[in-house]
Amino acid sequence: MLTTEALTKRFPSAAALAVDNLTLNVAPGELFALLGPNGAGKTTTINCLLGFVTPDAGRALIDGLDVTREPLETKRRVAYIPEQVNLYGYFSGVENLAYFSELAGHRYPDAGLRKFLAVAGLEPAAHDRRVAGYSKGMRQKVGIAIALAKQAKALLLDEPTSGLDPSASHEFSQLLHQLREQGLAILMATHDLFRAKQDATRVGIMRHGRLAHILTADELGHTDLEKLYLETMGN
Amino acid sequence: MPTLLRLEWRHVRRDLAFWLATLLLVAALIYGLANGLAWTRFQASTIRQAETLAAERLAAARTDAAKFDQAPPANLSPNLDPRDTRGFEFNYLRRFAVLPQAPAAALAVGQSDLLPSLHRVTYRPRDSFLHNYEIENPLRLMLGRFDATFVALYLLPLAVIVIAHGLLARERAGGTLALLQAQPLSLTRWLAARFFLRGGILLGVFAVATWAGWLGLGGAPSALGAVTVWLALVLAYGAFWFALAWFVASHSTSASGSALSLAATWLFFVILFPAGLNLALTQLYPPPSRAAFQDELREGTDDASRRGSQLLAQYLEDHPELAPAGKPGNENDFFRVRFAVNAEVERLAAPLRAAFTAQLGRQQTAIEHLRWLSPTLVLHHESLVLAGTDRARHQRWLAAIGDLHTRTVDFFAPRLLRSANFRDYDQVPALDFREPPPQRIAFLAALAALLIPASALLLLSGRRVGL
Repeated sequence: MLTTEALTKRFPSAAALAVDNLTLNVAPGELFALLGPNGAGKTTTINCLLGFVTPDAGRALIDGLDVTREPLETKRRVAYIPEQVNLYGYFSGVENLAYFSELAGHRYPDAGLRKFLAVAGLEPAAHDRRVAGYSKGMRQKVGIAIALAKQAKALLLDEPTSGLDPSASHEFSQLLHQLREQGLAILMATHDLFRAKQDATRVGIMRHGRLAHILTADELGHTDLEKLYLETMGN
Repeated sequence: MPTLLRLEWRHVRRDLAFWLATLLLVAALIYGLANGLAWTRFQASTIRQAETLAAERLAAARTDAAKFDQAPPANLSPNLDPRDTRGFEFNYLRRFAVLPQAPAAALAVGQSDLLPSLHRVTYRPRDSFLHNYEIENPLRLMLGRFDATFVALYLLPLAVIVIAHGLLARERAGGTLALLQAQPLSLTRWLAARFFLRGGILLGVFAVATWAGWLGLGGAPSALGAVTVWLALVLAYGAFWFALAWFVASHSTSASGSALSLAATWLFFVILFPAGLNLALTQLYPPPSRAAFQDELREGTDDASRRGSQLLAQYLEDHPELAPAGKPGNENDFFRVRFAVNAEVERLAAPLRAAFTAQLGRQQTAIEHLRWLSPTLVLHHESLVLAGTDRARHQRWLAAIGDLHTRTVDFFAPRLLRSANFRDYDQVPALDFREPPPQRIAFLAALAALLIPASALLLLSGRRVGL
């Protein structure tokens, strides 16, 4: 569902490649966690899949469609939750969700919108409050609701639990599990080794734009992920 | 697009800066219209008073002539006798050459508050009644009067800048652009909806306020056609500024950078380019010195007065038909000498005046060509033309006054010099000022000059929108 084929990207200001000949595939029902330090190429990979960045070589595909050639069709199939979900401060949570849902082509009744927000874990009391007064965690939940409402086949997450409290992080994990069960393909860039081990069906450790290691669910069970990560970085 | 417009309306409803800018612009427009209409009412009242005075004095001339015919008064000075050319011209004739107000004059006062719109034309040298010493209020010349055209030229672009400078950059700075770009929509169309909705509302409100203000403040309903033509140009000018804002917005990474670029462009088009053009034309085609002209004329007049008798002899040699026939000696000497002196002064003034007119003509021609380089000058020029307050019309009127002066001299010369019994009240020459037909092509060219760069900017902007 989410595929990169020999994906390569170099930014003009950088000497090294941001993404170097990266090939990976995330199947429906799979959650692939991309680990790696800052600058390893995780976000660039996600940006290539979203069409924000045009690769220098290789291809990014969503549901078999080339992101560069069919940007609108591929965006219809994918939802995105960035590290920091920024919304319109003068809209309420419901209004933000309605706005982005309608931009994505989905118009829901008020009750439907509130249901998405509730599933994302946002307290009903906050639904009609202006987002300008929301905490980061609350905004993140609206971001999750926007992704849910989009009814996408794939989900791209760029450090989605960064800044969330443990309880919210746990709720988010449960939600990801449900989405995976529903058949979504999920690619998540994260620094959270614990969450990666808990949630992912596969984990990839990136370094200098390349995938240094890929661990399957079975391998994750008996691997000290932190040790492997540190060894990879040390190399 | 309708969905995007509907969604954008949710933002616009909460955009305080937009509504504030729109409100202030409309308030300024209404004030500008009121100011322009007040000026034209004052001007019309002055013209009415002058015309009433002229009609009253002409009627008095007929009445007094009839009265004096029936009972000739004793010791009546010829200078007060309406039956004598000298008396009629000196005591009764109050004829004014009036520059008629165009129906939409209130839209653009221009320099009609500086340049006279009526002159009392006599047989005396033109410079005795054409009081055009270019006494100009520099501040007003720089800014113009606060009329509707001022609002359109100066404030409308500022309102556009306030409204549109951050329409993309704020999304980028606020972090919402990434979320927007992840949606299956063309960001160019989304941005187009932002600009079109705000532009449509602002310019629509401006148009409605112009029509309503014009009629509500007592503007002539017959001028609504001209007002609508003016509005079409103003809306095209507004579209140009919105297109420019879009272009700048799609090339700027920050709202402040975008605002700065737009403010600099405003400064260039609205202030620096017209001022620079004015300065360049004054340097390229410097008008002769007015002071030197007046000095030369004064010296010439003094010299001519000293040589009065000699000039009279020469004048009568040139105009033998005006030589006194069987008149008592020296009865008309004063007038004859004055005529000869006047003719000499006119002769001296003619090349100096021609030099002025020629330089002004060159400046005018240069402006006609160079104004196409600035949308502000295009709108300003067309607004003045629509309001009938443009320099070219004023020059045509002055030329008509020159013609009237020549006919006045020709009319009074034989009558004054021969002291003929005067009854030709209905034959006194009148101003022959004809308006040229409306320049539809010029209007369309101006519209094109505003819309073509706007379209080009839109095309260029559409290609570059994104993170």
